[in-house]
Amino acid sequence: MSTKQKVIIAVAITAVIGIALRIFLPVGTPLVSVRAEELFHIGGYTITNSLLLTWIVMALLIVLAVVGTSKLRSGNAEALKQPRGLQNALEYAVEMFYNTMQGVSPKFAGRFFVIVATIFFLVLPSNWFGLIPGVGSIGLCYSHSAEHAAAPNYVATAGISTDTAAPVLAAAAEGGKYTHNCPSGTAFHPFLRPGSADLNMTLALALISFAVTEFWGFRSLGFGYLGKFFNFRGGLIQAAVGIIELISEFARIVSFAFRLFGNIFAGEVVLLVMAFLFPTLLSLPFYGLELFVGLIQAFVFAMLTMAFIDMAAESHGDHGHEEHAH
Amino acid sequence: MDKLGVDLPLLLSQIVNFSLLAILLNMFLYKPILNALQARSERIRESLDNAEKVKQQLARVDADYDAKLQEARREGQTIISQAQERARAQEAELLVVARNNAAKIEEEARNKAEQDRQQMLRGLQGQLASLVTETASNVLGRELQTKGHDELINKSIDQLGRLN
Repeated sequence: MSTKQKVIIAVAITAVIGIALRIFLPVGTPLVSVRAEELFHIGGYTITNSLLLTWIVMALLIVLAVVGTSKLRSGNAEALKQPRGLQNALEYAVEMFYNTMQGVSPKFAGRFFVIVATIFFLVLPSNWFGLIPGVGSIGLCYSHSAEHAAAPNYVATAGISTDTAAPVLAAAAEGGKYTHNCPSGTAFHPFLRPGSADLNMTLALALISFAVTEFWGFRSLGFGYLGKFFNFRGGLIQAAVGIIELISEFARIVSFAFRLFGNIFAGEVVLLVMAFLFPTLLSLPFYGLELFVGLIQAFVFAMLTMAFIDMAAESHGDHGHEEHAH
Repeated sequence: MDKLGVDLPLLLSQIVNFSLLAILLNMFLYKPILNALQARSERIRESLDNAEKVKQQLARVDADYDAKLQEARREGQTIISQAQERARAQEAELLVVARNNAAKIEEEARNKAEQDRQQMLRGLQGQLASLVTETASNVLGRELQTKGHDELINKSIDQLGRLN
């Protein structure tokens, strides 16, 4: 039996098992919400599940950084000579990313490394956290009134009490029964949602990226930077090009925000739909795909920011490399 | 925007999150690691420079050693050749002295022999004269008076000497 035949048979068996299990496992209809769901309120501030996961990711990153570089920061000569374990892994990640950014913008990579690297190191785990089983599938049923109610009495409305809103574990094994279990008038709110699947975070990052780019444009070229957009001396075509440049400059905010949001949110939806169609086995390849997409999107966001910063500092050079939307 | 879930407080809180994360990561991750990387690459460069220096020193020492060896060899050669020359000169000198000595000894020996011969001859002459006188007196039967015949005797001895 050739390898090809083996693969085909393995896939066929997997498909059969997957479809067979579909029959035996009851699966609820997938519920998709573009908005990040609210969880609770603290002093008038709404805490959404994406904000919660972002905090978790941040805490994780900071703990990793503090633990990993503790020896380096204390000036341990041995740690400098021979990096080990976590420190080595962090060094590898930072160095590799630094070198990549140096390849994109040799002049400004050092100056804007903090911004660009933080984008990457925040977005990547945010993307990947969405793939952890339970993120996006474990939650509570909240009554609709709680969503728009100004009153922060979420305990009463969100209902730890079982009659208004039963806490439901909607793990994959139970096939996402949550839509059935939530009584009418309530909606399922997962506890965790990847930050990059919430427009608030992607838009925030896009605004930061935009602000840094424009800041650097003005900083390095002064008001001559505006000449790039309002170029009336070079004739009509130049003026039109300038206006288009201006529009594309602002369009970047939208494209940045929606590219990341769209990819990660769509990934979530694909996984949800696949889990709905085939609760077992067949959705596995999509996990691999989403891992890849998560890495690529984090990298693209950081790298494009670096590239735009680099381009903003050019006076009237070529605008050859516009963004390539993924 | 509201349908998409964009909400100003949430947006601002994410911006604050990001800024906070950037500051903290800069403090605890980027700065220590980038500094370490720089320190490490500097140390590597230093080590390589040092290695280069050591290599150069080694090469210099090697060259020195070679030069010294060469010099020593040359000196040795000159010393040997000088010694050989001196030996040759001495040999020649010794030969001359020896030859002279030999010549002197030969001369002396010859002189001595001559003297001995003369002495012997002289002795023989005296004896011969007395023998001759004796024989003659015996033959003549009378004793020749020594006085008055001296002339005759000396003449005969002279003849004898010439015969020799």
